[in-house]
Amino acid sequence: MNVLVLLPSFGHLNASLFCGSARRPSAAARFPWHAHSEAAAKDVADVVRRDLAETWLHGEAGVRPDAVGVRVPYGGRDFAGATRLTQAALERLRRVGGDAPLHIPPLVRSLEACLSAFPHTPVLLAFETAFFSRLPVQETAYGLAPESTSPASPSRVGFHGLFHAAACAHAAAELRASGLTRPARLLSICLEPRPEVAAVHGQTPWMVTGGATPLEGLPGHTTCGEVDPSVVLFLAEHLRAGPEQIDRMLTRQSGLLGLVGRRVTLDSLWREERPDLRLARRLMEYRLLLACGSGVAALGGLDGLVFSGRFADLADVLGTELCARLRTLPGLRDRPLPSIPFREPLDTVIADLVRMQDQRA
Amino acid sequence: MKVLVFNCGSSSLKYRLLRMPEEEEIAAGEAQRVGPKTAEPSRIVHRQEGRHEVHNRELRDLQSAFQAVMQLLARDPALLPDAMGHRMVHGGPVFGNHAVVEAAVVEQLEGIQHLAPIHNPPATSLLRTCLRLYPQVPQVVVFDTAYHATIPDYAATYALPREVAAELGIRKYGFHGTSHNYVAAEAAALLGKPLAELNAVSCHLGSGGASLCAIVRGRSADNTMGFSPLQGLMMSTRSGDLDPAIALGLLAAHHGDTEAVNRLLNKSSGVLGMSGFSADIRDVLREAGTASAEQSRHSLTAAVYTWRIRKYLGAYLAVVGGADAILFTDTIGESIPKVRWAVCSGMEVFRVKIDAQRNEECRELPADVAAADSPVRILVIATNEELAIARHTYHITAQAA
Repeated sequence: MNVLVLLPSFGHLNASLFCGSARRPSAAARFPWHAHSEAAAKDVADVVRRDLAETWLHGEAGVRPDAVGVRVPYGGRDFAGATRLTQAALERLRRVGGDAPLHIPPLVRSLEACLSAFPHTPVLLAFETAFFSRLPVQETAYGLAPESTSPASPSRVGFHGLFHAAACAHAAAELRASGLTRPARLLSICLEPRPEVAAVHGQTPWMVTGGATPLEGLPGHTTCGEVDPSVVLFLAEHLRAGPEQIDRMLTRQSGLLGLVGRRVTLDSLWREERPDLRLARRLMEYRLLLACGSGVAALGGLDGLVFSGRFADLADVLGTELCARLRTLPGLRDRPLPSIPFREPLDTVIADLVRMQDQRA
Repeated sequence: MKVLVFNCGSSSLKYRLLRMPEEEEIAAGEAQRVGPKTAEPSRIVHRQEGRHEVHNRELRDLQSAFQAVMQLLARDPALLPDAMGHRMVHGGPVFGNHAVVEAAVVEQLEGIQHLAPIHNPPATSLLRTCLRLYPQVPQVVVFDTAYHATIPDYAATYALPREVAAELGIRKYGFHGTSHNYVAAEAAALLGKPLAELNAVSCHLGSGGASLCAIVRGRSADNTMGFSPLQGLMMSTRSGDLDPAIALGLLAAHHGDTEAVNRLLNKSSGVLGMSGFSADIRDVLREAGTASAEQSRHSLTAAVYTWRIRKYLGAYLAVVGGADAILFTDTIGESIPKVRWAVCSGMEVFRVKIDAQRNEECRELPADVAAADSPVRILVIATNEELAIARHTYHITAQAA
């Protein structure tokens, strides 16, 4: 089957076309749009119908997709798995829109355009948060009075569920081939510009560093990660800054950029031997070690590490470092502790998900 | 020299009058359940020469608790102190070491009291009152943050714009250092090794605040609290770790009122906020155990409370590598077997095996509740921050004299 994978974001729509059972797209394109305002609804619809469907798919690529897969960054706890796009599903998604007001409304506009552009083609919504709908409640809850926030009781949802689910399935298969006969206990380390660690037993996540938003957890390229909550208030008071300014600082000026003073990727952090990277590198290694230790405690054991995301190749250097540290734990000292890379990109992961759903149907 | 030590907790005021350097207790006590509403009334439990007295009083805040304590001690002139030692939670970037209290020190402390909004203000106010009422008595302030001066830079740094963090002094300071330091020394002695060879994770679980400390070769390597005591574990009225975006959302919802959000996160969250019932985890654990509470907020509150301790324990065991021991201390850590069990059971991967019977029957401290074949010992040690503070006070006062 031919699968069209769409990765919508604020500024553009990425499209990849997978023909047959190919593991790599036969064609790919990026379409700029302005998805983040009500007035942009027409722009989104035009991009999907005209630029994507008519001009690119039917024109340049010359292929009609048998199915479409769309990455959805947030579905709250309402969507526990991949879901066929229907008006009812759109309505459910609109209802969780209050949880992620920057993401959901523009996404809904793009999905409405998909329904219109592909009226006879099944469109599957691939939620990043679906994998984490099975997180235990003690992991998702925050120490807040329910009435103190709106929406009430925000919860930890995790944000790279698609990578974690696929990577853990891949790693589990490798461990089974090596002789493991029970569900694997894995630390899944997704190395994206906002990295995330999850502790997974079989197909059940027990812990994740991502929070109610992707801001919590590990520092990213420009995101602060975990920080004392009082720091947010301290910054507001001492910089006389409003929430939007503080948000900009924490999401676009912090992380590796904030630590090093220039743009740095996770890859260059571990591949380049430069003195100005030393503190940032040691900080990231330390935060990863803390997350791994928490994950081992959540799982009650460990069978291996799996790395995914666009920087999954760092498994060679980072995996070695983390495994060496974890092996200082007496219970892991004399056991094999493989560090497994999962190198598939996100569009391939979604294409595989669409094919799997089609087979089940 | 008679040293009177005051130790302000989140919901208690402990005091001890010690003869130094002999370390003999003359009198001691604790004002308990001070402040937020709990299921039992507030009171002063006082002991002197083997006598125990319980004085039920309304103790609205630590100031009224202090005055009630001094009235009790004033009954006997022999209880007048030669020096006073005070625990202070946050020394900020100003105080890297303990200090003799003078007016200038109090002013500096007042300048940083926003860094620990529950502890510093009443403790600083207490200092000012002590200076005013007892001007001839030397006063020493002992900082919780001092023990954590050894936390390495990669553990103490937040991933914020470095110029902003440097200018505002935003870094992890860590707290409960006096207690963690004390129990680490006690643990080393119990294990028969020098403190400088001890690797451990110390769990200071109080009825108010709580923190874990990773101890490597006797020194603090990390602490779950951070820039302020708000970070880390979920506590009696503090949220603990929180997505920064939630804090931003609260700030927006409160129209930029940082004090209101600070109050919310420090005084109305945590065990009290989640349970809607009590700030004391002991009350919640009791209710969570009933069949009718299975699906209730109490069960969830108890589960979140212990889960977070467990995750941090795993994190710090990974930092420490081969730990000699896990240390439990302070009110909850010393007296609630359920919490120790929830945190330590199923941790064989760390070579931690808790003995159910020893844990349940643990009464006399110090105690070891690990299974006989557990490579990592689980020590329950009564903290004695007052003794540690008295030691510092005595040495600093003696040097100054």
